[in-house]
Amino acid sequence: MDNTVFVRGVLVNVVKRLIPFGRTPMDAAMAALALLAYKVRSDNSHLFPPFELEGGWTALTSLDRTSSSLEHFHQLLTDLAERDERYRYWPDAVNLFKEADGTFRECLFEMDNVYSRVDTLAALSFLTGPLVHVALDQARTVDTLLLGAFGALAEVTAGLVDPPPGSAVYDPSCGMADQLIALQKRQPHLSLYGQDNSLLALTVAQLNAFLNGVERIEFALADTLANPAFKDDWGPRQFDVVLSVPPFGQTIGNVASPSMLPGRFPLREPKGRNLEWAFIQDALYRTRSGGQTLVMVRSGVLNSSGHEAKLRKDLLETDMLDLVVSLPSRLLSPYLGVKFQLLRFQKSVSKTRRSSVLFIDASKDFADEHFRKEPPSVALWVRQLVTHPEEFPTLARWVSHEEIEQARMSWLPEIYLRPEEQAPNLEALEHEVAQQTQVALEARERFLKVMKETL
Amino acid sequence: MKLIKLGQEAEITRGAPKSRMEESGDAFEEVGLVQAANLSLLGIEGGLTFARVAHHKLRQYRLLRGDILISLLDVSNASLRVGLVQEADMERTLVAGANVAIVRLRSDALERDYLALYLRSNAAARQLYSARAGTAQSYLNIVALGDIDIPMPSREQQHQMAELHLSYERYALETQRLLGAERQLLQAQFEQQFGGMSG
Repeated sequence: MDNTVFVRGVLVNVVKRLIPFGRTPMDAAMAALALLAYKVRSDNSHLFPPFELEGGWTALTSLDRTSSSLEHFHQLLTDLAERDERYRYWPDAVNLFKEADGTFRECLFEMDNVYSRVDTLAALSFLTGPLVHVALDQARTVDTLLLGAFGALAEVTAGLVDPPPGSAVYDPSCGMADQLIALQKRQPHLSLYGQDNSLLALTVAQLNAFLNGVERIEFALADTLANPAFKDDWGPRQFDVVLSVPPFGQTIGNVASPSMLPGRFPLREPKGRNLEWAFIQDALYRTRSGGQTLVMVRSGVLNSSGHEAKLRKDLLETDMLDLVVSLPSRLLSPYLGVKFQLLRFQKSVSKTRRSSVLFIDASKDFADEHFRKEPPSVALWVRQLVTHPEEFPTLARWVSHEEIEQARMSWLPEIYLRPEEQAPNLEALEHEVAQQTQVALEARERFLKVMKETL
Repeated sequence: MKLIKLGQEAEITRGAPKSRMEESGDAFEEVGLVQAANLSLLGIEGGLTFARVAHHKLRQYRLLRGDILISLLDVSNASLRVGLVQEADMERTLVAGANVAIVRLRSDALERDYLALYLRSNAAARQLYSARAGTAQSYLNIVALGDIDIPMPSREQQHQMAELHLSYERYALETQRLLGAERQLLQAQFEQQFGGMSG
């Protein structure tokens, strides 16, 4: 994931969670930056301001956001930047706070501008000691602080796999490790393995694990497709559970050369834009018999034709797919506005064929403000639909492989779940007509009035 | 009355093909793609298709409040199809498709609502038709748009005219919505009375 989006994702997530504890969004935003900086600081001490500046930061952290304190701070940084090349970005950073006008979105937008221009670590460098401690103190008072773009999603995925104690769980593109951490909170006795190709992601993942008291995650910096970590004498190691959120919108060529992937895709080699299918096959490859694989993908790849449809057909024939869940796109808001699905595969050891897939549409009922206030409720709702699909016939249904074939191999739940037609609600329609009459009359009166004044 | 060329007062660009906006970048945002059919003076209307635009490209393509959009297609009718990006449209990120021209005013000498109204008028269309090259394809080019002469009444007159016409647009829209709601009610009443008899 691009660093800019990544950092913004972290900031938005943390800031949202810190807002109730800070006096203003700016307070929370700065605390969020501090959290991020906490870990990188130790390895990049040269990037951090010397002690003489801490007075300036104290002024900022105490939220004295009057123009005079910002001016003062800006001056300090400008002087320093002139003396020392390493600090050249700092005046920019302060300008951004000045321009941000206090509103959270603008503030983040401006930060985004700076991040897109400068190296991320350098941009993080305008943080300093006291703020880190304030932020960490705040963070410790929040029970549910889970950094990560997919924090709310992690709650859902953790509820959909059921690893027994002692299981090994692997996330091949772990990002901030939010999925692993959420799972560990449900089932404490697990061995967790996280891998990512971004050093920054892994750094924050470690901070995330630390903040959540999860210390037993083994992290590796490696490329999942080209040269994955966690191998044993027989090759890439297999795990009881594999959780994967493949990178969105990338092509295989961006990530790894296909020539570097010999024999990894026994079904059908993914091509070009089929990155998700490369990750799905890889995740299945890394899951041991009897294990579970959970993958999040965009809707687009479940309804596409051509090569991807053939890949879906091959996969369906393996009889491993047992669950497809559509989730509210706002679950990923504000990072991504896409519609997406969770796929669950069971690598069953049983010879009995399942020959059907449970399709669940949980996307609509929470497409409102409600769930954003209470993210865990989505997880509970999905769990309820999965365990008792028969109670929600318009939202959950077992679909046979034949029916999926007839629907041109589409794996989108919405295709198989049509809401029952409801009898027209006359009362509501009458009310709507009455209201619209009022609005139309007002618009007419307004028009006549303006016409009279003008002509 | 003083006339000015649209190209002098405004920057005129063309929306980009979806494929170009989506062509690269590993971090993207799903944004609304405004097409000719979505244009209205009261804002962007109807269902939008979506484009996945790389973050670093969004700054270049993102529509702003006050942008005037003109359909480059279907100019065989008397007047142009013109839309205004309104405040309410800013709730989502929007970009313009390839068949839409974006007119962004450089100064405040012209009231944007007035300008949009003028561009939609027959007078503007007549100027374009005389300038349009070829008859095989009714496709407007943005150079011809820049050559349109815009009459410049006083700011007060521009404002008055815009307010009058936009209040009429609002009145027409709300009346259409009322008719739609009444039709739905009628249909529902019919179904309730006779719907069960067909089976």
